[in-house]
Amino acid sequence: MTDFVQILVSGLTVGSVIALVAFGYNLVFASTRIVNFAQGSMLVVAGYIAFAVARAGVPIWGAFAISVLASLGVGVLVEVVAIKPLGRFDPSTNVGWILTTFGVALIAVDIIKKTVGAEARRLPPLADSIFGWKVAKISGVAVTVPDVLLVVSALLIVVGLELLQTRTALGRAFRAVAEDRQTAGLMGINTELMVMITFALAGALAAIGAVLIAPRLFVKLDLGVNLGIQAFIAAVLGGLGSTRGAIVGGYIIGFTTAIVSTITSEGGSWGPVIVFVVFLLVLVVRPAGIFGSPAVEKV
Amino acid sequence: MARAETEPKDTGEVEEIRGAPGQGVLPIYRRHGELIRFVPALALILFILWFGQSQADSRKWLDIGTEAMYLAIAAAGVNILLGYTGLLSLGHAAFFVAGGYAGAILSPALGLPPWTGFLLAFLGSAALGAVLALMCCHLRGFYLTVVTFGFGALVPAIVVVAKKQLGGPAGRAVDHFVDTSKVPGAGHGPFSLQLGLYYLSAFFLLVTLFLCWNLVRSRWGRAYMAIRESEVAARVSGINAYRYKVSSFALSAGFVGVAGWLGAQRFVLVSSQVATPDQSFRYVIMVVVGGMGTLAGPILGAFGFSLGFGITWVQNTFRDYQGLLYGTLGLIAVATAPEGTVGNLRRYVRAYSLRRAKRGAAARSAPPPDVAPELRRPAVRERESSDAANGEVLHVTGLTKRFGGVAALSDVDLVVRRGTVHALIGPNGSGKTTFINVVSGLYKPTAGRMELDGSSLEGLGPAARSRRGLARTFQNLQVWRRMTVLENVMVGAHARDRVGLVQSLLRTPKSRRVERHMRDRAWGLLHFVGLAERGRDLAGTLAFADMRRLEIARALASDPELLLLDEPAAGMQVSEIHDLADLIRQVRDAGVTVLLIEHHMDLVMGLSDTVSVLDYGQKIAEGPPTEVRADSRVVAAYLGEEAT
Amino acid sequence: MNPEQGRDFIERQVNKDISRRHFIQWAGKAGIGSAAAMSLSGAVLAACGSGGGSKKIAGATGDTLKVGVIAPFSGIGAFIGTVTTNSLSAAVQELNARGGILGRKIALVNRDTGIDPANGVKAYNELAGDPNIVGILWCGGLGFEQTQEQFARDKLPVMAVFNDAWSDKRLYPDDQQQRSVFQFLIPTRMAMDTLAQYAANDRGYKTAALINDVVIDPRTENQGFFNASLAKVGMKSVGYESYQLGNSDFGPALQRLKGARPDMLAIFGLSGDTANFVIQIDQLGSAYIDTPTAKDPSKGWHPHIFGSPGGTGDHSWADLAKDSAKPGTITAWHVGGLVYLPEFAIAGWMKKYLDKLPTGGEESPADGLYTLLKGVEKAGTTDRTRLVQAIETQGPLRFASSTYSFTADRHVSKTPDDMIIVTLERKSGPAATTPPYQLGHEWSTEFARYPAGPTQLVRPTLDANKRSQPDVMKTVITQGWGTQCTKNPDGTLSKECKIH
Repeated sequence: MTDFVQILVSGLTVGSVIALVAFGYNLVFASTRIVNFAQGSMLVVAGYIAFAVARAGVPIWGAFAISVLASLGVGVLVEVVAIKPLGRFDPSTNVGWILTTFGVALIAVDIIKKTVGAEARRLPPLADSIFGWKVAKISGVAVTVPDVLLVVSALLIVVGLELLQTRTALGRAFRAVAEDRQTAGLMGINTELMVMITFALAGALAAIGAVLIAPRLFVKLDLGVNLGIQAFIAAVLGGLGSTRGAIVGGYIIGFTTAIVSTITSEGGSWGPVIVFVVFLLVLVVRPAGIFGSPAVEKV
Repeated sequence: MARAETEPKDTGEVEEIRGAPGQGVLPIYRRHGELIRFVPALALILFILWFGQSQADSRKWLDIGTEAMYLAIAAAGVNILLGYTGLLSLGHAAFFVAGGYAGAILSPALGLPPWTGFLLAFLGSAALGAVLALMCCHLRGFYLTVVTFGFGALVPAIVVVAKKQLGGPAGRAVDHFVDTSKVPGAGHGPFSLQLGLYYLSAFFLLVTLFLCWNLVRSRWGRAYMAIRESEVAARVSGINAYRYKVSSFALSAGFVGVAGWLGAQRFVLVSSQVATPDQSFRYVIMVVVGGMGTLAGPILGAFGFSLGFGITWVQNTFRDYQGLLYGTLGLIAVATAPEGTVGNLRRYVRAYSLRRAKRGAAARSAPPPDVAPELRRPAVRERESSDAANGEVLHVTGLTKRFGGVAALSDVDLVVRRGTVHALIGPNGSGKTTFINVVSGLYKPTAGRMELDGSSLEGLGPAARSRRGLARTFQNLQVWRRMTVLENVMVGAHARDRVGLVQSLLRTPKSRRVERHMRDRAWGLLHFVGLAERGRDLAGTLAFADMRRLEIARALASDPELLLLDEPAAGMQVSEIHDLADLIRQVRDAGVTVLLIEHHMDLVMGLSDTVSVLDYGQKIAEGPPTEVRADSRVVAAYLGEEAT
Repeated sequence: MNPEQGRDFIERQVNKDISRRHFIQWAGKAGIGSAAAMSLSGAVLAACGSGGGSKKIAGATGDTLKVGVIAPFSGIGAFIGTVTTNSLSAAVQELNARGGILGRKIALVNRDTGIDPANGVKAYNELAGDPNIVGILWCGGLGFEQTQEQFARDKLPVMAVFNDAWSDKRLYPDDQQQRSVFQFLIPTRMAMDTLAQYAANDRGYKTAALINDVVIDPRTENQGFFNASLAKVGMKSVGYESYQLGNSDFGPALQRLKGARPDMLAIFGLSGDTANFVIQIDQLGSAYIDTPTAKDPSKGWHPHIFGSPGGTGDHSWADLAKDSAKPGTITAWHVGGLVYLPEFAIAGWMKKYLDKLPTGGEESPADGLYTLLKGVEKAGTTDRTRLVQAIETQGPLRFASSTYSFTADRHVSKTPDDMIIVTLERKSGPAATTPPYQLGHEWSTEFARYPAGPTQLVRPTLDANKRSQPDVMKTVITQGWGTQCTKNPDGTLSKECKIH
């Protein structure tokens, strides 16, 4: 029973951590068909912004809000620097975007290193307790407020993003841009603006992710890379472009890791192997991921 | 239904071909012939010698030079896949590691002499690459990339687990290629290990370059490029895209493996530490910055990274700002030279010669070569038994194709007789293009039988059908825009003259002979369709009507039994249509049967021997043109459409 | 620089690098270049860069002695490179100011290992191929393990400044081939022995478990060392858990450990993961209370956590874990400068020549350099075999830190006596325990100039501490720091000081 609860708690929390980063990949992919490899770095930048603001004495909610706002700008900046210069391009044949998004990630890390420093930083959790409740024990497994916040927020973000993408004019415009930029442009959609908004939102998502993840993983320079790779895999597993796919992908990684760690104390070595094998198996069977729309065999 | 029937958007429409007519083979080559192409290669050799001699005493620079050499090999390998075949792998660093293990650990373990390591490194990596490719080459675009990414991440994770065999994250030490303790005076001067390794790496780079040079000028290299430019067109031209992609993948992995073996020699260590996504990214970046799909590009990219950054490294100044430096340079490179360094250089050269041409100094260009008259006509392949099918080239029975619940074709019977022009007409959305897609093998029919020359086409893919004698053009053009006009036609003959990959890589006499024949044949067909003057230009620079003619020439290059023309007159002006009609007549007169799908009634009526009419996926009429024209159902079908 | 500024300065230095100290311990192990570490300096392409010094001395070998330095000057371990550079440049200036060695000036040839062990191998091969190089200071650069064969072949003196060959039994006389290697780092195996002795003898623990980061222990040898050390003191190992750098969840591992209920838990990893582990064990309700509780199964599970310098040797893990970092929670040990001692001469030189203060570890590269050069002086030649003999026989040395010596059958400079066990204490003041802690803040006031970490406290519970650092310990003991003494009504300390 304890094992079961532990797997559940570990899987959900780790899965949510990963999903929070993966959402950013998805959002950008859904409207541009590129993977923003700077997403992880945007998360790190947002985390350090929140840290810097909080250190200046601003309460964490304020720091959170400021970081989200600033990250909207960071997102736009990334778009202007990495995507705009490419002009109109087909992401599958013109791979310049890999270079530029990756380049921006490198630059961001260096800037943080030189300005804020490279040390891992602590952010206070958004809430320590809910109505005095701090930590619960379920069958000997600790469940804490930041963890609950993490898991619930991830689910709320899924709902929010799905609503945004399916129910709003903005979301429809995103999809139109992703489907066919030229046609979308002809239909009167300002495609460049749409791409920019996408990146701004991805920046905001990074900030939300950074603050929610911080109680577990702190704000660290290598977060962008370590977590970035896992999140990328989660996003692909679930289906790039699908928000619910991101969280399911995250859960798959989280639960796989938790189960491997429960079975063996050598989980540190075996975890990644099993995760990558699962990843490849899923992709070979379902190339577009679990919730991805399979690439239509067009002729 | 209409949506399902449309062709994919040609990527070339998004990514426009820059420039104007005159692009393609560089003017300098046109004027001075192929030999001058060796100048850059000679420059490379001189550079290698100069660098090696001038830095013979500097271990540091020899070391950086060695790295430049093997990174260039890796980049050249990645370029085969990315630049020529158009497939993006983000897991190639795994092959660097695999090559290191295979060449430097497995090879001695098998008791082989150390110098054979490169062979095992190549074969081991290529085999691993083939395994990965078999898993992912049916995937399209980014999905393929993603699988390679996962694979690239899996390999180091496995090395971590396989502590005993592979040494875990710590890696395993390897023996030097040469045992320095046994070479007198080794370690210094001309016998230094560093210098030896440098020249060894340079040698392998030159070998790699030689093989790549041969490859891109061969049937295989052109097939890769055709897949890159339009996979659909490649498939109907007789190229088994999956197989070629796998071969390209394996080849590419093999070269990266050799680089890994050299890296292991340099470090006296094999470690999986380099197999990070970063490293794979770096290969891609070197290729992109240098120039994808060019021979010199990856080498320039790798040299630039190793030597250029070697300087900043020595200067110590940028040590703390590497990320900033690399990142910024990457951004600048993409913004200023989207086609890579080499691509941009070429553009400047072309722009320069165009300006010269405008000023009156007309670019002297070698005229298209003259070829034997028999090559200037469409040819019909020899048939084993000419009357096996009673003069029926194509026999279709009960053909049905459903997309979801919608029947694009239902129960269509059609017989195309040898030596005729058979037209298939019908209003928009009547299933014409679906028909041609099913017949050419791009769509699997829901039901029905198809026979070509009396033998069933069932279960055959587009490539196999092309080899059986089926050729087609596309309604929305699928010319391979970034290949020359001549190359387009040469790929058309892909299935006619076969030569193996190894033969192509080594450019054996057989491969040269085949190559010459394909080239002559292609020139001949270009003369036939009247495009010979443009043979050395990039196909993307042709005018619309010329592209249509190019597609016909390409289709004819496979010496087809049956040529399927999908709305060849669409978008053409009246005079051009007249020329087209003449061309089709000549094709028929040469003995090639034509199935013409067309909207343009004048063309159809003036040209066809038989006309079949489709409406809502059903054949509603068939007969001589005059008869069909009078058929009330046909009139109704068209009027019905026009009335809307 | 007034004391306040000086302190600020130190704080900044301490806070500057992500993990300056912990790297020292495991930098020598090849596996540091995890995906994360690699990627941080993602664009490192050039392999062995040359340091600033190499250009100046090119060709001028007649009046200089060239010493090779292999260290991570870039990448995640770059702070080690900084420590090395600061240390050596101060030491070289000091030595040159004293007139050099044999009348020749000293010049350094730096080689960067970045984040790839292969670079270390390459750098060594290059340096060893240069007949003008008298020896090599291997300062935490990667690739050390992979170069063993070349060491044996070349017989070039190699000072393992931040690398651990002793633990792998690859140091002479354990490995007869490695006569030319001399180690300055406290070996992990030795440290674990001391730690186990401390746990068993001073604290009275019976059982223990290990949580190990497989990325920084690529050959997973810590488990073997740990179990061997436990066996020597009669303790029992009841659990082993592995994880990878950047882990966010220790849930399943903690459940297993809880079932095994070790009195003591040793975690070998980096500060972020250590902090995470401490937080999660706190959330589980198993935070450390005190030694008696840790030993008493009837009071649930409240293990005493021991850590490696990597994870717990400085304050950064405690800053991250905040409230979960209970006083007395973690015991780590002093390694090569983790706790910076006031008597070390290097501080004065750094102040004098560089206007900088040590951030920890600076004495070791300087001592390594000095050992090598003194060997040259004694041998009067740079002949490799005679140089090694000279180093083995030159007797006790004292240069940048405290006295040490090598002998023919002892190629490691440190002894268990050099270890100081330190335990977390709060900067804010004495912890509320019964009987009350007296101390905690004293270290930060008295030793403010030395960034041992405001949250650390030397506990003079180990005889070895007293032997090895008598001056420091004298102060500590007279002041009663870190012991659980009660104050007498007149303000003096009770003689009955017990271990908490």
